[in-house]
Amino acid sequence: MKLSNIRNFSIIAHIDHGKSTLADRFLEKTNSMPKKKIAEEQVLDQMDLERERGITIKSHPIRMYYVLDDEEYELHLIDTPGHVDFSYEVSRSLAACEGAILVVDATQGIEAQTLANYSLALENGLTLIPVINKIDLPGAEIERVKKQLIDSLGFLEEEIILVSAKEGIGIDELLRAVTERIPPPKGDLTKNLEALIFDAYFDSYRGVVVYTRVFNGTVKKGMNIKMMSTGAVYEVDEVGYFSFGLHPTESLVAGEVGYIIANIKNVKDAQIGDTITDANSPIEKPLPGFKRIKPMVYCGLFPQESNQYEDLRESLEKLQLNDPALVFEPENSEALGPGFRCGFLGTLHMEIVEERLEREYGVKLVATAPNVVYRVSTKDGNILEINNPSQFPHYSLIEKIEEPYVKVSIISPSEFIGPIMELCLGKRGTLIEMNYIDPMKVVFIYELPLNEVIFDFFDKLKSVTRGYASLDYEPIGFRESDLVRLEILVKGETVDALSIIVHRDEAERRGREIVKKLRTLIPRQLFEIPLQAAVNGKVIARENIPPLKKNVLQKCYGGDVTRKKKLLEKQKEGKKRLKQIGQVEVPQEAFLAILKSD
Amino acid sequence: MIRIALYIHVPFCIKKCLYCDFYSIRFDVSLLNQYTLALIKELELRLNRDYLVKSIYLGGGTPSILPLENLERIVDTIYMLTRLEENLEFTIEINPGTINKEKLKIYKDLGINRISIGIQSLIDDELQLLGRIHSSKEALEALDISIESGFDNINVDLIYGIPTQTLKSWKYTLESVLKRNLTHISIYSLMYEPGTPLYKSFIRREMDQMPEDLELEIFDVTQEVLDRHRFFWYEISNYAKDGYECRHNLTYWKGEEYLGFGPSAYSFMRNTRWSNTPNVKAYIELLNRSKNPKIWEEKLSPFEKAKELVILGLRLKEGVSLSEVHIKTGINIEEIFAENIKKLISQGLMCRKGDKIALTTKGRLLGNLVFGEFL
Ligand SMILES: Nc1nc2c(ncn2[C@@H]2O[C@H](COP(=O)(O)OP(=O)(O)O)[C@@H](O)[C@H]2O)c(=O)[nH]1
Ligand code: SF4
Ligand SMILES: [Mg+2]
Repeated sequence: MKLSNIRNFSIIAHIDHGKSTLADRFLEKTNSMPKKKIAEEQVLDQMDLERERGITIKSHPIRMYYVLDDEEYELHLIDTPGHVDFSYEVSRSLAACEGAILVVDATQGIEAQTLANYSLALENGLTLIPVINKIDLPGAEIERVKKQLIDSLGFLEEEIILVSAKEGIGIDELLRAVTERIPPPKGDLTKNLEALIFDAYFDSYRGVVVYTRVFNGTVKKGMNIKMMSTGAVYEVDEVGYFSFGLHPTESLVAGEVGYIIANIKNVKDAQIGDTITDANSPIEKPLPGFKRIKPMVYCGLFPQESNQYEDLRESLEKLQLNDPALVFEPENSEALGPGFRCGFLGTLHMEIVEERLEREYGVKLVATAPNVVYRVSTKDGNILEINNPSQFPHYSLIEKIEEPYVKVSIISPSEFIGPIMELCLGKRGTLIEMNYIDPMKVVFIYELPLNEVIFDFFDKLKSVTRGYASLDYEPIGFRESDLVRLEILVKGETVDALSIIVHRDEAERRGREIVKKLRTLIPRQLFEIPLQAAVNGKVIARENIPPLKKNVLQKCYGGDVTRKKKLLEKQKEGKKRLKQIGQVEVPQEAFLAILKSD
Repeated sequence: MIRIALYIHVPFCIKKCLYCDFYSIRFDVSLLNQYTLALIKELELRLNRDYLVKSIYLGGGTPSILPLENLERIVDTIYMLTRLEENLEFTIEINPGTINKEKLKIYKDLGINRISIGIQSLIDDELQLLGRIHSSKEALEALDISIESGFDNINVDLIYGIPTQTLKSWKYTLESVLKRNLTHISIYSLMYEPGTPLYKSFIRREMDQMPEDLELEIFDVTQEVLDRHRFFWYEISNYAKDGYECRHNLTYWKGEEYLGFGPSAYSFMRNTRWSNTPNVKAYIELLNRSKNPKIWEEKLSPFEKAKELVILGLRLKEGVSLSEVHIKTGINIEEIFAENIKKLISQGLMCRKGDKIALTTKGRLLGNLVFGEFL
């Protein structure tokens, strides 16, 4: 294919504005939809978790062929997730593109991730095509949304394309705009190979499948390629493009998006953001790659059975290949044994990783409650960044504690100004700015502790605005706070995996709540179990679990034996899910008990 | 010759009690007759003179609602088909409100020599709460006429843990039956079995479970009173005068062989356990066509058998001899479960007496924790 007939583009939008549905229409229009999938919706969301939750988690590249005015075009579309936690997925996809379609829901207008993804696309120097979607809906406010796009994002009225992804309205016009407005890739296929790894996954038979955008040169089977960050050399086994599965081709050339398989069994050799070059005539300098992103939330992940530690490590490595925003390091918990401290971009990301580990890799997990990173200055002048409450220095050694803050943008109909301000105040927020996008819609900029934002802030925001507000945030550094470590003692022993960092004013209430909750979660045992919450060595709340005195099957005659054995087995099964902490057996839910704040 | 215990299941009750999760159904004369014919057919198909019967147990349900002619035919069939051990133990379960002197006399004539009476409580409110069909007066009467009819081996079933029960009312029930001439007593704490009306009203919070402290206090008092009357506990829920332990039920706890007849009855023979269909209509239907009413079976491996011997044997006061288990199954429990045994002993739930292991007093109330270690 001639470079001038290739187009690489993404679809970006706020969550639920219709990216994946629009992708469906493109696939249909270009006859790229496999027959048996025609009845499905959002066909690119093929991961079980995506279909169950109705959201896009991974970016999905796909190649389509389209004929317009007797010219055949090769279109590489990348559908992207909309949720904040997956913005790293979006930004990597954008690096493989020259343009993007920015979709806005006609009934909702501009929302927080519309703005965030818009900025991301501009930073990447992409050409944007503004689209108003869902114009078929009776509640569509086309004129109002047009005005928002013009006034707030600086688009021209004639650039905006009106679409109904559901009804298939405006799709031809949009495809034409893609070919006419988005520039073809630049690149030279006679130069030495220069290809960016923007995604990957591990296939147990074929090794790593690398998702790549070729910027210069050609890659084909049999060629020796070199991974620039490790210097490792591999012989290419297969190259191809994506179209519901992998489609092998002769070669991938400059300007194209596709995959490379080279029997790479060591996942470390296929780092996302790395550049692939020709081992025989390498280029000098790698492509800039991606900004390293820092996790926002951490939690401990431990195998339920300690002999699954190695499995968990391997699974994390493989998953990390497909999800480079995930970071992890070994952690040894006194209570839970060996495991990993893992970092995520948010709590949704964390949930998704936990579920993928359990489903795709079959490891059963015990997860501790998530927390942010704290910066602790000690009296002897050291500054420590701590992502695990159990690693906090003794309180007597601490000079000050700082916690991460974020700049939060909230977009909401103006009728909810009052409740939003009240909510943010309660979460220790400072209002920085409030602007009107149009007379009915406001943007707030707040500074809030990240800790307050990641837990139930979004749910609360949704509930005080009846679901109308949207939220985005970005880190702005550390600020000093009056924080303390709340320790939980079970039968007199501090359980490291149960300690959390809280604001001093909250400590007593949280402490009381937690021990009360634990009381209902920890099953009675042969001895009494005192539960205590303590701050700086002082007990601030306590509960007692009385000893178990009676647990016996009363009747057991002829036929009962089998049934009774089943009952006993069920009891035993339940016990297996308990973690032994000192003498006490604690169920997994207990480690999440400290999450809930109300 | 195979020595067995023989069980007959009579799955009929006048009215279902509110706490009961046994399989029992409403009946009419015609169904009772069909059942009887089917049961006789099953006995004919399965019994023969290679069997030496050491005990017969007519259980239910409510066997005492069987018309006398039906019962006679059943018993005659058994006697005809098999050999009986000389000191055969022959028990029938009866419920107050379904019994009279005439029936008891015939029972005696038929060779029945042990009566088990479902008294449960002697407080009318409590009986009502349980949904029993009888009053406390009828309950005592059933006991008294059994004694008058010349039965000298009588069991009484009692329930504690009834929501309205007090320590005083329990003592009254217990001491009232102990004043009579009993040989055996079975005491169960009230269970809220899923699916029963009692369970539902508990879930709907229409009633509260007895506070645990009271239940434990009742348990303690019970031991003391029974001790005084020279009743000795020999199984989790069973107490007897010396020499009157129920031989039939001991068969189950010692893992010995038995044959069960009637709907939902279980049998255990040559390390295989199986059961009949619980559906009365299906049971009758199958036997009309001389078909085996068996619907389920499991074969125990030596290891499973060994574990079962331990779990069941631990229900008994005397415990279970590990060397006997070893001889019977070839499995060395001592070795395989060394850690578990050590742990249970250190927790004070189990003790050793020579080569036997047995529950401690504390372990009696926490049996499941002990049994669970041998699964
Ligand atoms: N009425 C209508 N619904 C649409 C349209 N486009 C998408 N939807 C619906 O909006 C919801 C979100 O769409 P989806 O493609 O998953 O959004 P994404 O999160 O941006 O990928 C789905 O229920 C779609 O059926 C449209 O043009 N009209
Ligand atoms: S009499 Fe016994 S078997 Fe019949 S319903 Fe009552 S408890 Fe159940
Ligand atoms: Mg989507």
